[in-house]
Amino acid sequence: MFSGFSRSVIGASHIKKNIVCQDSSGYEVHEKYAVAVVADGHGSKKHFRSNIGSALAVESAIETVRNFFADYERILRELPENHELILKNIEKQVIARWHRKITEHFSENPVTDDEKKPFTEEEFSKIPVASYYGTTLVTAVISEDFSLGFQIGDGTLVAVFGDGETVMIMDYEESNPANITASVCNKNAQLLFNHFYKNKKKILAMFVSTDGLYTSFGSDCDFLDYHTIIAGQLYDIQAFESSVVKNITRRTHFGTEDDISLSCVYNKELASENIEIIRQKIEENKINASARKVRKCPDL
Amino acid sequence: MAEYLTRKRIETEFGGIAQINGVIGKGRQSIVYRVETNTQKKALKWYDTDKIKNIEQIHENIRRNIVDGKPDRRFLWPEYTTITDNSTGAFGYFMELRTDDFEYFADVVRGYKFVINSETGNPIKKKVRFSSLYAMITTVINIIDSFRQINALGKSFQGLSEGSFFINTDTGEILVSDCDTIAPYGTDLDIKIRSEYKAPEVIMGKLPDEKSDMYSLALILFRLLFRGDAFEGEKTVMDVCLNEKEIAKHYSTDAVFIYDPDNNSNRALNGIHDNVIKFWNEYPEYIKEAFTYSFTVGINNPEKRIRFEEWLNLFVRLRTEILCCMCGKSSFISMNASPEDEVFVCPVCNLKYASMKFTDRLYRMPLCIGGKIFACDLDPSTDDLLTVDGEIVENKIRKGLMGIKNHSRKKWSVFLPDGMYHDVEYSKGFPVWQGLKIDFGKIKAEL
Repeated sequence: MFSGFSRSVIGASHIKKNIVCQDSSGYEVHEKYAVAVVADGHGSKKHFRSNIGSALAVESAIETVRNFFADYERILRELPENHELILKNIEKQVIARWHRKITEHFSENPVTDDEKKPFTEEEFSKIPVASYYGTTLVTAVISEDFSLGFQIGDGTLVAVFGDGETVMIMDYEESNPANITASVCNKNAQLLFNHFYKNKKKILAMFVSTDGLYTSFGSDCDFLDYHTIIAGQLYDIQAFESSVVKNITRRTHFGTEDDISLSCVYNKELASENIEIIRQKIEENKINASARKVRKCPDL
Repeated sequence: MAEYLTRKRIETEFGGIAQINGVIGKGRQSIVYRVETNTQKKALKWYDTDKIKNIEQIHENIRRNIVDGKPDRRFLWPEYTTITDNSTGAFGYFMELRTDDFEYFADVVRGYKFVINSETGNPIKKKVRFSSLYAMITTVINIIDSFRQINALGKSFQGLSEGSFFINTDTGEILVSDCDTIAPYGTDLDIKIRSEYKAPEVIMGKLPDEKSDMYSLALILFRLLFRGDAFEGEKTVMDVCLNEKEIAKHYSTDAVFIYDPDNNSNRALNGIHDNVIKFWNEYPEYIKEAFTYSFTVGINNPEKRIRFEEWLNLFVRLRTEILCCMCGKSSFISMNASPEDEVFVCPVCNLKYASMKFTDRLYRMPLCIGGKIFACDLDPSTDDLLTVDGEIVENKIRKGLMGIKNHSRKKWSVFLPDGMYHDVEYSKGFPVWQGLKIDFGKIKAEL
């Protein structure tokens, strides 16, 4: 029923600075549902282990979703009435797992002299351990019966419906309510999540990406059209993979030249059955895009 | 339920008309509107009859509370009702409006609120913090006293939630909301509230009473002081809870206090419970012991729960032990000192402060500018917990010289070490000198 894809590619700016890719991504497919995750390690000076932090965040999200969805029928019964409560509990458990993992990593890998080098002793003493591993996190879960997602920090979550409609379910700005810099490493991080739950409309695919992808586009419209286009390639996953990897690698030279991660989970049957509808939508989008060039879609 | 938003006018039980001017807030079973009746601005709580099984009982309880009258000015008490809609049984009641200087309990616990930036229209984060430790402990004392007042009437809180209190973070004054859910012991209003505010036996089906209110009070105070939940720790977070009922077991049959000294399975977690982890260490042992006792022994032994008066004594003591240092740091002296210490040291700047020993208690009061002596500190028999009878002030001419000013109408006597004595009338003061003995009337003290 479901399948998935994920890839993280290093940004051009990180190659120039000789730093490793700070992004991580992953997905997991089950019989009744599938989950896609990306995480964008902060990468700045005090977050010197954020490449590890982002990988552990992806693991934490996948494990937590697996834990909550272990009895699928049970969660299916509860979600319509209690999705707010369930999503909040999932978010708390993700944070708890992430802290367990970084604590374990930290105890097995004490800070090295090289890692301390950029700081004075006083500066270093003020950085909480969790900050070393700071990262964002975006997670999407797709099933036949519903879809849901949760996010802390920037990044985007895009849904492509069976009729070709493509939307950013959680707005880009919403992930940073009132300009709070949201990160998995923040104190009281569970308060900084955004989430959504939908059970009305059939979703063909859900894409999550780090903000390197979003900023490589000139407008929201172009960004969404891109997702419709790649959703139209999902019926042939091998072709999709090679095309998307090439494309996102090229895109790391645009915008902020940041790392780019893209994960997706999709309904295989719907991706094949609705291919003509999606193609038709792509054609419509092309016409609209030409018209936009005249009207000028708002810049990002 | 939203029908009155379109109707805009509603008739009161006395035949007057209330004009609806907007929504103040929405709860699970009701909406509170801002209304105007003749010359008065009021709040109207209107029930969603579709969501309430026993609307008649709630109506009856409100009528009873109106007749019994408001316990004191802190309560946003039902004053009169609307006429009842004959077809649906829907109705509402009128109460005083909360003024803007009172914050939501939830915002105080969270430490911030979102307000709309008038220029951009975007939400911005605004800090919500107590102006002083005095304001915070005064809030605590007010909340305990509100429980005491209600239970003295043979009633208890049946709809307790974080929406039940509003707080003035500058003064520590409170307003008690949801007074329609305050009902006599044994009444079953069947109000749907979260387990986080309920005693274990109430979660399991027993009707609320004085003992369950003692427990609920401890839950509310813990949340206010430590900015977190007493039972949400590792065990709770790692459990897969999909509904309120599954969460409820962590507050009843499987409840483990996050700082239970004999069970570490439910400890507070970094990244989720950072506030609790931070604040737990900022209170003296006797406060931590009271909560630990409440949430270990008190879980299954209602008879052994800490009584309202005992909570009051603990926090009156804590208020006495506030040290406001000139460096700006405020702390509780018993954090860093033993009861027999006579000099207290600011934990930040190490400045030393002398203290005053009252003859009827073991603990001492640090003598720092701005320190307050309350009526109940000087008269153990009074119920007045909030009136400031004395204050430590700085001499206006000789900076650095401290004195104690009499704000009460009672005459104090101050005895010098050489046996001479002086009377200190209202608005007068005396200097803080070593060896002075003071007769406050019912209590004596020495410096």
